[in-house]
Amino acid sequence: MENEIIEIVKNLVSIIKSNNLKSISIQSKELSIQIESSEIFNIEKKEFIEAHQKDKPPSNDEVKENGNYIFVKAPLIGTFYRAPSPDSSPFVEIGDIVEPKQTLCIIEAMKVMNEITVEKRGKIIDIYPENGEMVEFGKNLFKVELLAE
Amino acid sequence: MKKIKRILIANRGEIALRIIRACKDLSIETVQVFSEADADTIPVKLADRSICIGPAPSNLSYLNPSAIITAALLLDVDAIHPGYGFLSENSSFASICEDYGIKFIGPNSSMLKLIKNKANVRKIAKEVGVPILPGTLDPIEDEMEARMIASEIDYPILLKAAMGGGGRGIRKVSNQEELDELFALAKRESFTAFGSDEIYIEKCLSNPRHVEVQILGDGKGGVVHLGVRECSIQRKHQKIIEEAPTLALNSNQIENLTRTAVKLAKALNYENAGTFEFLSDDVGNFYFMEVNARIQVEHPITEETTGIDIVKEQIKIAENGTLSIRQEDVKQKGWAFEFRINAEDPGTFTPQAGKVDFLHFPLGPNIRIDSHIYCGYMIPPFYDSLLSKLIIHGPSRENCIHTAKRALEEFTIEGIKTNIPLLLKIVNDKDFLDAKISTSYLEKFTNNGAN
Repeated sequence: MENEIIEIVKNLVSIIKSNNLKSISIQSKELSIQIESSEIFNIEKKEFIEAHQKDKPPSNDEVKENGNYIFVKAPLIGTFYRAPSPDSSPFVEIGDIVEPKQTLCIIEAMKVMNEITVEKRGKIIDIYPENGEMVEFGKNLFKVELLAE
Repeated sequence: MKKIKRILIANRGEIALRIIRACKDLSIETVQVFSEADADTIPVKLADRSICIGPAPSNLSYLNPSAIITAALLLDVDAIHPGYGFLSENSSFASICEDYGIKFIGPNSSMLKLIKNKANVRKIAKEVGVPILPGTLDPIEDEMEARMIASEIDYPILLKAAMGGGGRGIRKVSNQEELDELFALAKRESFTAFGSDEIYIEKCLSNPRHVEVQILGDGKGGVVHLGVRECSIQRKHQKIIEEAPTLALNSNQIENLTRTAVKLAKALNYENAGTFEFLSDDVGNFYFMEVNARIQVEHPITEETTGIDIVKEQIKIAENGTLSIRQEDVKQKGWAFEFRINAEDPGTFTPQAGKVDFLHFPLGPNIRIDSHIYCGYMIPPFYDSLLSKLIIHGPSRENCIHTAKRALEEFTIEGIKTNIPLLLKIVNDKDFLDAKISTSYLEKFTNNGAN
């Protein structure tokens, strides 16, 4: 039954998409399904994001295209720590070469230590927050110069 | 009780601004949390401290308890005001606040948990002698039981999800064939939407009016009411125009209604501000529907008719655990309306996102506007479509409608479509002027919205 419903929904979604419909509904004795498309919504979202992008610092992708830097941003709000514990040495220093998936720092939120990693191989050019500082969502943490892998 | 020196506002838009204003009046510092989509908004600029807690989607920002509590702890706030919607009636969020010693401005978590289940509250109401609509007290198990009850109380009936709310999770059933068809579906829908398939049955009144009582409680049985409001002008259970007081009931019936609401609030040991909602029929009977355990969108019309600042009272109750108002000090005077100005197509009701290119607010005597928008404001597509609340007060209902006409004609928002044309049609409609309204009133405009 579950699988059948999933199949039906899949088919309806593809009908909505291919015919650019706003909503579709079917009804039988056992079930009724109504699906509304959020396509219009998505277009608005895209426009909204585009309109806002000019005021924002360039995103990771854009910078990559220009050349050699990426910014590692805070994926959540919390306290920024450069080392795994107060008496250990920092994960990274300026000038260090880092490998993909390497931990750069910790952000603590509600007593959970979240390890923040880097996606690409590169060299740490700058570290923005101080150890123990509060960071907002989206704040630049590290500037990394990309290096060939 | 702990002195409240700094409040975190876990909301956005006009209500965030409303709360910041109350805090400034009380010399309380404000921390505004915001999503990336709201960086350029007035509450974010006006708060003493603003902090980005996540990306645009609500579930990652305004509905993200961990991000909000982290901000609250890092910025050392004493209390969190949740506004309306988002986490305002979320008992687990309130419980996390309690665990961390942060005052949640609203009822405590166990009260929120109790009230969340509408069938629970219905039962308590029945026990203390508050009139409720005929129907079931306990969740119904199967179709047979549903059939029996339905034929007892007569169709049409409503199948209601016990954990539903905000006008969602309600199915109207007109006869037994429909019941057979819809019962299992409604149960499944309820489970998908609210995580519980508990359903109860309520008699469906034809053309009822929606009346409600504003309550303040100290959580220890101390309760005052701030009079009544009527919110019959609604579409799909979403209120559009509200007024205070009401012509749905005469003064004796209103007296009786407020007494009944206070009785129920006392029985619940209700804490902080809340609204007790009722439906009334055309001969003045009223039936308890549900409790909204938060500040409500339409609170300003009560403020305008009583002179009491409800948001400030919420903060004072949270701080002191006592009421600063005595019932004999509350007098509802004159009349007030609230018109909700939404960013939506007036014909199709589709929400509109976009930029406000030009804006003029119709101020002047007897008008209050609660709004977060400004010329150049980008309406994000992620949240609700409320742009502005136009609040009119005056000595009488007629007087207010007169003022409303000039205000709605003067109100100018360019760049996006709004429902102002629909509101103008309503204030010029004879039935509206005569207060011949009910929750199905708006249908006549939506069925032939073209003219």
